[in-house]
Amino acid sequence: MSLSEKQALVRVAVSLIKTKSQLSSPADMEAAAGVSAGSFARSFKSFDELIDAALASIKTEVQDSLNPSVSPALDSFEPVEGRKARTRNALIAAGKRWMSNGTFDCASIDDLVREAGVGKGSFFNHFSSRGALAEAVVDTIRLELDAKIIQINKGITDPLERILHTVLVSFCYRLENGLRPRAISSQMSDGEKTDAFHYHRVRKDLSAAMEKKMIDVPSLDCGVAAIVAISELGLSRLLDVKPFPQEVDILTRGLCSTLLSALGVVSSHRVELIRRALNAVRSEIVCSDARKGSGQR
Amino acid sequence: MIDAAKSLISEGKIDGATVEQIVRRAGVSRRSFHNHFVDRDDLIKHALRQVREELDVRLTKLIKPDDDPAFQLACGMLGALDYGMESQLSGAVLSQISPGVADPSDPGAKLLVTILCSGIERGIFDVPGLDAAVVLTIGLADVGMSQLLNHHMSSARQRKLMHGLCVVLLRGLNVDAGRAHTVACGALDRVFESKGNSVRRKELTLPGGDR
Repeated sequence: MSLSEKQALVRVAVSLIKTKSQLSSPADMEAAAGVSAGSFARSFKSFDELIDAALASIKTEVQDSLNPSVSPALDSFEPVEGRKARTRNALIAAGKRWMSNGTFDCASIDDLVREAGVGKGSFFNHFSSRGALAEAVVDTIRLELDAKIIQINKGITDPLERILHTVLVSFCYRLENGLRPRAISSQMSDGEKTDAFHYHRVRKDLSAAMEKKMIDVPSLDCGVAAIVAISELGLSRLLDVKPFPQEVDILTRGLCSTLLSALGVVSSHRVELIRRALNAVRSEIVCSDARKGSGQR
Repeated sequence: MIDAAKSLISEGKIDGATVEQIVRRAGVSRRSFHNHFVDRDDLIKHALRQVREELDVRLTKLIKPDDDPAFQLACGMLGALDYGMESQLSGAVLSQISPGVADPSDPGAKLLVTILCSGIERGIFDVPGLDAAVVLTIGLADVGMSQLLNHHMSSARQRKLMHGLCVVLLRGLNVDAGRAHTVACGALDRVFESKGNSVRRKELTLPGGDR
């Protein structure tokens, strides 16, 4: 196995993820990377491994641009000075706050720089337009959320459990950040297409569950539709009842149970699955809070 | 002007839009705007009301009061999807306003709530809560709409997707798989018959067959 083959493939995957395209077949990716046939199989055990590598590479790239003391791992990316990174971060944070209110469209560049406390000139040092900032904000949100989902699903093989974790973690994250349905998708050109890249993992979990006959859905698309329906519209309801923790809990259970039943999971399995998933997500939140707390000290 | 407002709503840009932007998009003068509407909100209200009324007319034609609630629900969802496909702009508008309707007490959800309640009372649906059922119905119609509008599909594939969404919806309300399939087929028949399009039944008898 050659290291450069592997890197070339990761680079192709990174650019596909960044342009929000679907990953193509191993053969297509080999052609795009300009490596010999079969190098995919030599470099990676599975598609997931490649995606993990690509996501890790994007993450270091982002971190490097934020953290100037670490020299960038990829030579194609210029080192960024500390002050510059802070400006960029402040702008992304400001954009995120506007997006959380669902008012990003009303925010002018003037509003954004004022909120970030930076000069208007420096906005254009980092972003070519308001739209470019929106994309950067969405990317940041997706990366943060993705990292949480990967973290909680580490070592979990039961596809249904993975699906429930995905839905619940995304509920928690978006409730915490006040991200209403469409706050994200209205900033994206690919909108809510269910074959978009960010549904890749869910699609994989779903087809695994279909193969194992754990669920019974008319087609993969319909299964994804059920998951997206419950997560998006469910979130809108959850934000409505958010001031009442008791109601959030009841509704969350109800949504999960409705989702599982829509996927054709027999009712006797549902309660136990939901209980386990809720516990896992809760303890993960407690852990990450603790980590955050100790980090601050 | 109503179409201009609809297109801004469907792009999710109406909140930030000024009267100026609306008249520019509609290609009319500012004065004629004020001949017809008091202000921006007045226009938006008109545009939304028009979409809802059109949909309402269509659904009341499709849904017969003596039908089984499962059948009514299936007709309602398919009717809404069909309406969106016919008038794409209105479909996109419906998608944008759907999060508001996820609240069972919203007037826009009234018809749906009536059907769901009668189904729950008669033991045809079994759900953990009314709001979860509303979320599932509106959500599936919403996702289905964006799939149908954003992807180019053959009409056979469209019908297969519509059928599948119906089955998933009914199963989510605890209707068993076999019955869900029958109801979905019947509802599809009615929706397409109402348009004078006789449905080619054969396409539907084998769900899960070739794409």
